[in-house]
Amino acid sequence: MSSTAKAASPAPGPRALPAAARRAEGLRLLLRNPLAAVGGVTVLLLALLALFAPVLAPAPGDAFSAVHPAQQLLPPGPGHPFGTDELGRDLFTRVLYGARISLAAGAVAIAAALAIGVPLGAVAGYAGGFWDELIMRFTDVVLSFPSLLLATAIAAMLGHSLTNAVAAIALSWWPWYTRIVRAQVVSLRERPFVEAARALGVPGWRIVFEHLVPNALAPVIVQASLDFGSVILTLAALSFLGIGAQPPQPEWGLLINTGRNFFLTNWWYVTFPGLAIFLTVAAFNLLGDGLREILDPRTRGRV
Amino acid sequence: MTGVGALQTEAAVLEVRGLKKHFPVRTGLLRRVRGWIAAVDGVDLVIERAGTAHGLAGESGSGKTTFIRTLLGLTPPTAGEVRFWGRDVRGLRGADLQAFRRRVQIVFQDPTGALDPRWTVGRAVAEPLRVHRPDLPEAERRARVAELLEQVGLLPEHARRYPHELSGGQRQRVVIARALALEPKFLVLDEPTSALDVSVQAQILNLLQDLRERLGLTYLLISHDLAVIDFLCERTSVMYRGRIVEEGPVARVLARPAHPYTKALIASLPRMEAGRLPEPQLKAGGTAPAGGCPLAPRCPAAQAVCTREDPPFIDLGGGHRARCHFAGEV
Repeated sequence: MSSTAKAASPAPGPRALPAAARRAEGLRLLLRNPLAAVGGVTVLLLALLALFAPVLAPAPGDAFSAVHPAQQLLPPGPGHPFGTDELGRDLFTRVLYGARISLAAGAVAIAAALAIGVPLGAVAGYAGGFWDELIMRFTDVVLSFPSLLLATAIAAMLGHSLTNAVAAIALSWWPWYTRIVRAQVVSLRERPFVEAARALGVPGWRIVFEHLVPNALAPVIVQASLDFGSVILTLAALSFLGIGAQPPQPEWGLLINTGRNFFLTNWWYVTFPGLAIFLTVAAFNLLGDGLREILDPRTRGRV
Repeated sequence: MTGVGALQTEAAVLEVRGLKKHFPVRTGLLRRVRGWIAAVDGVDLVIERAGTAHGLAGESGSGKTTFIRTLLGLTPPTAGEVRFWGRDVRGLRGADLQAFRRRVQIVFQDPTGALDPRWTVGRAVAEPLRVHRPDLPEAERRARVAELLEQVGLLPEHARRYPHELSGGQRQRVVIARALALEPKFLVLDEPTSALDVSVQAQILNLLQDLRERLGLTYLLISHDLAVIDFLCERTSVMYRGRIVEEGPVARVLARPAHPYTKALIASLPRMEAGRLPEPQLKAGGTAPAGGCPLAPRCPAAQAVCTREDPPFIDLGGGHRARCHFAGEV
C-alpha cells in the first residue's frame, strides 16, 4: 500500500504522508539536527560494539576471570590499546564487554520503570479522585528521595548484585514516568475522542491502553532516552560503591572502583572506563534532546 | 403519519422529565462549595414517535452540551429522569448499559477531536464492533466497515487513511459511520455541522436526512442554527439558561415565535438581502432576578411582572407552547 501511495504521489503534501513516510521524515529531522545526529550515531555505534564484543575484543577470555600474571598493569600499546589491569587482563576487552552490561542493564531498568510507571500514571490520570490521590501521593513520596540515594538504599537492602542494582534503579525511577503520563492523560481525557469512546461503550481499560497511553507516549519516549544516560551513570555509581556489579564483571563503575587503587601510577585503568561512561551518557543526552525537538510540535514546525 | 395523542400506550422514544444538572462552584483554599451553577435546570422533552427528528436550539452556554452528556449517561443528573423507550437510563449497568449504547449513539460537533489522531479510519469505525461484537470474524468486520463507509458516502479505501489525511466533511462522515456501526435506533447530533465549511454543511445535512429515511432513525439535533433545525426536524425545543422556553412544530415556531428569546435567535440568522448584520434583539448581560423570568434583564419586552414571577408554560395550541407571560401577545 505504501509503495503504491509513494508511486502515485511523487510530492505528497505534509497532510498526505503515509505512516512509513512520516517515520522517514522523523529520521530525516533527527539527522538534520547535528548534535542529535552525533548522539544517535554514537548510540548506534555503541550498541554495535556491544553486540559484536565477542568478535571485536582482542582477548574475549579476559572479559571475566582470566589471569595473566606476566602482563600486569601494562600501559596502552600494541596488543592492548587501553592497557591491562592488575590481573593482566586486556582493558579494551573489558571496557567493550562493559558496554554490553551497561546498555543491557540500562534498557532493562528503563523498561521495568516504564512498565511500572506508565500504567500507574495512566490509571491515576483517567480514574481521578481517590485512585489519583493515592497513586500520586505515593509517587511524591518516592520522588522526594534523590534517585541515587533511594537506589543505593534499595540496592543495599536487596543485596549486592548487578540484577538487584538494576531492580533498585527501576524501583526508584518509575515515578518520573508516572508523573509525565498522568499529566498527559489528564489533558487527553478531556478530548472528544475519549468521550466518543465512552459513548460507544468502550470499557475504561481499553480507553486507557488503546487511546490514552499511545497518545501520551511521545514525551515519555523523550524522557526515557534522556534517562538512559542517567541510569547508566547510576548503575556505574552503585557498582563503584560496591553494591552493584560484582567482580569479575567488567562493569564500568566497578572497573573505576578497582582502578582507583592504581590511579596515581597507572592512569589508563580509570581513564578508559570513565571515558566510556562519559561518551555513552553524552550520546544519550544529545539523542534525547534531539527527540524532544522532533516530537514537540512547537519546535518541529508541523503536527 | 397520523397524529399520536397523549393517550397512546406505547412508551415514547425519549422522555425527559425535570432533568437538572448542577455543578458546584468551589472557591478558596478549602475548596468549599460557594454556590451552584445550574447548567441544566429542569428540562422536559418528549420525542413521541420513532423516525422523527427533534431540534434543540440555544446559544452557547445555554446548557445544550451538558444536557446531552446527562442524556447519554456520561454524567449523572442532579435530579429528574431520562427514559428511552420507557426505561430509565440512570442506574443502567453492565449488559443493560451496553445494550443502551448500541441503541443510542452520538455524533459530535468537532469531527477532528472526536477521532483518535493515531487510529486509521478503518480502526475507528471498527472500534464499536470490536467492543460489542468481539466474536465477529476479522473478515466480516472488515466487510462491515467497508459497508458503513459506503453508507456515509466514503470509499472502502478510506479505511486505511488517518484522520489528518481527510477533509473536515469526510471526518464527520467517518464519525457518522462509527455511530451507525451498531445499528442504533436513536442518534444524538451535537452541532453536527457547525465545525464545517458552509458548502460541506449541506452535504452532511443531506446525508443525515437520507440516513434517517433509509434506516428509520430518530434524531435529537442540537444546534444554535435554527436553519439547520428547520431543514432536518419536525419539532423543536428552544433552550435558554438550562431550561426549555419554547417548543412546538418547527414551522410554527419559526413562523410565529412566541418567546422573546426565540425571536432573538431567529432575528440573528444572517440574511443576504439585508446587506448588514442583524440588529441585536437582546440586551447584553444582566443578572436574572430571583424568582423572576431568567430572561427579564435582557428582554426588550420585559414588564414589572417578569422580574417578580417565573412564567409558566402557556399553551398556544397545536403542540406549541412557550414559557413567557406574554406568549402570543408580544
